[in-house]
Amino acid sequence: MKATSTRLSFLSSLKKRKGLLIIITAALLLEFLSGTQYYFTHCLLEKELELRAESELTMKAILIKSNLNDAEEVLNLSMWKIQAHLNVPDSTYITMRRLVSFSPLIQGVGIAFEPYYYPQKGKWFEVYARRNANGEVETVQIGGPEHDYTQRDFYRQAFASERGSWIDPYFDNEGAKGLIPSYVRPVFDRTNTAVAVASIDVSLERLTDTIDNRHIYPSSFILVLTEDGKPVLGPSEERISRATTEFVMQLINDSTVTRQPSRSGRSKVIHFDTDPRDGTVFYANMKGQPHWQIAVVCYDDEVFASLNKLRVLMLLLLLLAFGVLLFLVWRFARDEKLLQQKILEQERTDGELRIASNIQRTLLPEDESLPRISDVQIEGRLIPAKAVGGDLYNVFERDGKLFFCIGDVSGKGVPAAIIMAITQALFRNIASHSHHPAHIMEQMNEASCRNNKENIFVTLFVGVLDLPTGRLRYCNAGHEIPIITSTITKTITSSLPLDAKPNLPIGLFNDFKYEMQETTMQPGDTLFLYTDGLTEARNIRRELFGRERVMRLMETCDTTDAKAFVDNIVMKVQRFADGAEQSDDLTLLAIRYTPKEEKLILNESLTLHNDVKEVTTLSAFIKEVLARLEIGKPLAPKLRLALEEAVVNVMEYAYPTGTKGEVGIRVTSDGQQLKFIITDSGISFNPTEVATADTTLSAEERPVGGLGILLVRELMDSINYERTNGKNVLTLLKNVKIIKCKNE
Amino acid sequence: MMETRIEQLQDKFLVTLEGELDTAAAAEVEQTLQPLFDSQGKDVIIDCEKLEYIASSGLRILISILKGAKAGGSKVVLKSLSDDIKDVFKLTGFISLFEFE
Repeated sequence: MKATSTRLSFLSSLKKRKGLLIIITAALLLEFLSGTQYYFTHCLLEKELELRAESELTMKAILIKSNLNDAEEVLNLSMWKIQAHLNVPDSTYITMRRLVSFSPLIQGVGIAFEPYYYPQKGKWFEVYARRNANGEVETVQIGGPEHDYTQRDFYRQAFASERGSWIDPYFDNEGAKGLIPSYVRPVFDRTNTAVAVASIDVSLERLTDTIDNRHIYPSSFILVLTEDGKPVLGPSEERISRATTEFVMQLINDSTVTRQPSRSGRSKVIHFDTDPRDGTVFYANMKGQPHWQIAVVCYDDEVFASLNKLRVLMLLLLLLAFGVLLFLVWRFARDEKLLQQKILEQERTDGELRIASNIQRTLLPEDESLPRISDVQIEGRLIPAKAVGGDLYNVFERDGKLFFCIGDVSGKGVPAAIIMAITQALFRNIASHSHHPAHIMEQMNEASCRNNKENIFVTLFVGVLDLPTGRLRYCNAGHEIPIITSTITKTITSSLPLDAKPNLPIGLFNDFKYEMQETTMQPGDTLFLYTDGLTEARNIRRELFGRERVMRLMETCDTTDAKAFVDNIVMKVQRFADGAEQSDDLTLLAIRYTPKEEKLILNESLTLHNDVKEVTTLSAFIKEVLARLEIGKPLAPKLRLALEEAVVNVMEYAYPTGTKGEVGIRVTSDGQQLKFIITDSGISFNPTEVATADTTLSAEERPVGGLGILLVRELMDSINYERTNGKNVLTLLKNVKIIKCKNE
Repeated sequence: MMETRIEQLQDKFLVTLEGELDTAAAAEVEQTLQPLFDSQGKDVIIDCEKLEYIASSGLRILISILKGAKAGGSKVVLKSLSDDIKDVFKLTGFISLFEFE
């Protein structure tokens, strides 16, 4: 068993390993596929990033430019007005104010005149209109010796070019009071002489507003720098920290930082890896004035957010797939294991059947062990079914009687076989101490009821045939009623079921009272016993053999020989079955009573009283008889002793103390067997069932009785006891060949 | 018919059994051999040369003598037992209980 379970586990582990291998390969493939997909998706997203970033740059640049253009236009378009009112210096205040009010985009507008242009105004005259903190427009004249604008770059630059230009944001304490981009242009009078410089300051706030809404990625921001890297526009400090903005600025300005052109070539790309977020900066130059740089910053975690989500999803799916595969493999392995177990079980059951049939075969009386007695022909046959059924039978001879039984254990297989074995042993044991079928049955019943939790019962028929007389005592326990066949002539037989009460099978109720019944077998009669394997044999049309058929069979069968008889029945059953499978054990037991007619060459009798003193007479009698038979030492004294012991036993125990009684002694010989027949009409006493003395005990341990019977048993070949017509008849038998007998 | 003689010596008993010790004779023989049932430490030598036959009742007498002798620490010796009677002793297991000469 151990070997097969190791084999089983090895096989299953092999399959598991195969399965695992498949799973691992599948997992690796999936991982590889997902990796490839990830890579491609990543590339895709990078491309997408670039597209988006560059279009953002373009769009925001356009927005900025358009705002700047608007400011430019405002100033340019107002030139004619300014020109027209040049002669009225104070009108500039109004004009300036109106220009500022034009659009919230305009932070301030100013006009700075050439020195002494308006003599009444002095050397410096710069009118500046601006929005203050409250949003109101205020106009001031900011020119003065502290603020000599003629020395300033903006003034000089404007005069240098004939057109307007944007100047880098500078910190203007006086005018805008902040870092602002300005558009400056010369103002021409009617003679086309430059007389002043007009400037328009764009509100950085407003500009920032236009670009700091709608971000391509949640944390993305736009940065606008001057050509030489000074900050112009940036995200609000609430959104993006100053440190971050400065960091990015630094990246762009630091020439040691590696940058690459984008795929399209329209921008430059800087990758930065910083804790905690890595990202990319795309920047490009804005075309035309004021030649600013515009940059957009995108963080990787946002760019690839969807990819990361996808990755997690893929991982989960992978795990799920892995789990499903594992489950399938486990299921497969388990099914395999179940299948293996089923196969093992089947093998076990087959093994059990083999064991059961072996038990049965071993315990059945072999042909050699069937008693060979001249007075009976015995033929037993047990044909087991495939699923061993638990039929049993047993025959043995003891003290001139034939003890036999036939039975059927309920159930099949090994448990039935074991009970069958036990029942056989019980019968042999109990029947060697008692010749009373009811007593035997009761004791067997009691033993069978003990420790019988499964309530396995056995139908049983027990019989005791007294060979000298043909007296058949029997007891039935739920078994098929045997049939007794009498041969009237060679061709005419009569079959009758035995008059047997059904009673109950043994093993059910341990206090059931079994009754003995008796009949007498005539010379030539056959007692036929069988199990339900005969009556319930089926053919392929599912018809039963049945008791009727058995009865009819008995009548047509030749019963002159037990063996031929059984063979015939077996043949008829098998012919009836016609190939149908045998469902139950088939057991047949035929016992034919064939007592030899006694032709006596000696027949002497003697009657004594129950007084041991008369043993002297007995001794003289037997000595004389033995001498006539020419039986000398060493046999003669032995025969004498056996006879004396048996007779003394009867004398001492047959009659109640003090009562006078007779003891009859008869000596017969038919030339083969010498018989001593001792008769008395005392109380029913069976000396064969008295325990014989134990010869191994020491002197002190020896009980008083039992020696006599021991000697009788040892010295004679068999003892037979019968109670007939109120008399005890004890027959001692010795096989002695007598050639001749001297007559008296 | 049985003849039984006892001779009591200093240190042992000498017994002679002659004839057939069947059940009929047993009672009388038992009575005669009664003193031997308690041999008081003396060995009992039984001459069986002329003992032709013994039945179970006779065997019982011998057992009683043996029990008494053993209790007293002495032994019982059976002399010149015939083969037939030896067979009987074998059948009953007595062969291992007594000493033989």
